[in-house]
Amino acid sequence: MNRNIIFVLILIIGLILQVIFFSVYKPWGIKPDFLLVIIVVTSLLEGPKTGLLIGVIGGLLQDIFLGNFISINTILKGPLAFISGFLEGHFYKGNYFLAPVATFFTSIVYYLLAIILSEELIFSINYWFTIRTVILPSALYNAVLSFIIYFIFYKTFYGGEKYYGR
Amino acid sequence: MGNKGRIIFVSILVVLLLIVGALYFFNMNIPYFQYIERGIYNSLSPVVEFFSDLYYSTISYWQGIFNVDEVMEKNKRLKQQIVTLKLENLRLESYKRENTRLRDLLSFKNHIPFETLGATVIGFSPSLWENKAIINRGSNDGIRKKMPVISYNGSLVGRVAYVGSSSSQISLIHDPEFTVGGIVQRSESRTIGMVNGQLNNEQVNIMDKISWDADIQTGDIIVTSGFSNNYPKGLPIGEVEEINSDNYGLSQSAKIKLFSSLKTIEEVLVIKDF
Repeated sequence: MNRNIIFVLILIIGLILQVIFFSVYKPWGIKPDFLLVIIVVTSLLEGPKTGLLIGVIGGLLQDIFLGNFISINTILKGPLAFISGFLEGHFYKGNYFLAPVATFFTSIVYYLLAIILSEELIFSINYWFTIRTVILPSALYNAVLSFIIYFIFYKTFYGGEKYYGR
Repeated sequence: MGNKGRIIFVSILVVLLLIVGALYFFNMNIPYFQYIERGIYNSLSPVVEFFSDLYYSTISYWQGIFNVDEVMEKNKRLKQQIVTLKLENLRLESYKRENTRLRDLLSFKNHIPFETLGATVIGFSPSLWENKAIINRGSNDGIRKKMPVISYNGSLVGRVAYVGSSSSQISLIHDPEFTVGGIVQRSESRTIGMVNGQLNNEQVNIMDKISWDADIQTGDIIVTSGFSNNYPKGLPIGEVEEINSDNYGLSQSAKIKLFSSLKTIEEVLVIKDF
């Protein structure tokens, strides 16, 4: 099967997990963005082109489940995945710590942009409080999840082989 | 795909993104897009419902096995409660008859209970910034946008924000975008204010725009005011936990501890005929 189709199926599974599990069981009230984790990990492994495609589809799926066809997730997740995809080829893929670091910073940028682009949030929230209690914990949770997901993807799609670059 | 092909592919995607970005920022609605959106949503939501059912039934099955003593104890307690409630029900029946008779005598307008529809929560919003719940009822069951949603104990849970054919989404009361007019239930006060959700607190909402000299105390029950025509009057929202001065003393704000425990919300009632 085409690898892109597999990634889209993984995105759908990710969406279901996010909706029925990660949005329900929130340790210390922290909610991760599981689709963002899948998107960043995919683009780190597959490069910017697949990253952009998966990012747009993932964002679109998430937006549809929020009742908006094209909204903040479609607009942000595609380009962010595209940018993180440029790390592909510059790092040794067997380094499991790349994904958590990349996911952590991508999450922070994504959450901040989501606030700036939302007319409801931009003027109404306390920024420092939100960064401290929502953004940083959630980015950290995403980083931990990305470590696991990267490990699974790397072993599954690359057989865990020592694989350098493209 | 060659280098040129790759550049073309990426350019097309970037242009598409710019177009959809413009559509989003200018809030444009294209009917054709809505059909695609509904199509995808309606085909995905049964899958989510299936997995949600499977997941929750597995969890409750194992919980039942591991907590069998607790379940038996609860069963015993509930049986006793049923007997007490049956007796109380009989007493209330007689009051009801008396009430109806007296109302007829005084020619009062009859109080009609709302027509409600029970629904199960199958999931929650996948976004960090929005607190929405997905329920297993949609337009096929007569659900429409903006219908108020209450919990089984009658307190306000939210309102219907999006309707699919067999599932819909509720904007929950603690969503940062959620606003409802609240009024103090105490008959000598009747202070009004706006109850808003908070981003990082599922149990406490903020009631603001309360006048500086309003009669509001901790422990007061806040119910919906019914001024907006979006919600029926008198649905319980929560209890005043703390009162603070707002706007440099020009108004007051209160922290409202919500009645609905939204962490454990599993079933809700949608008010259909309001």
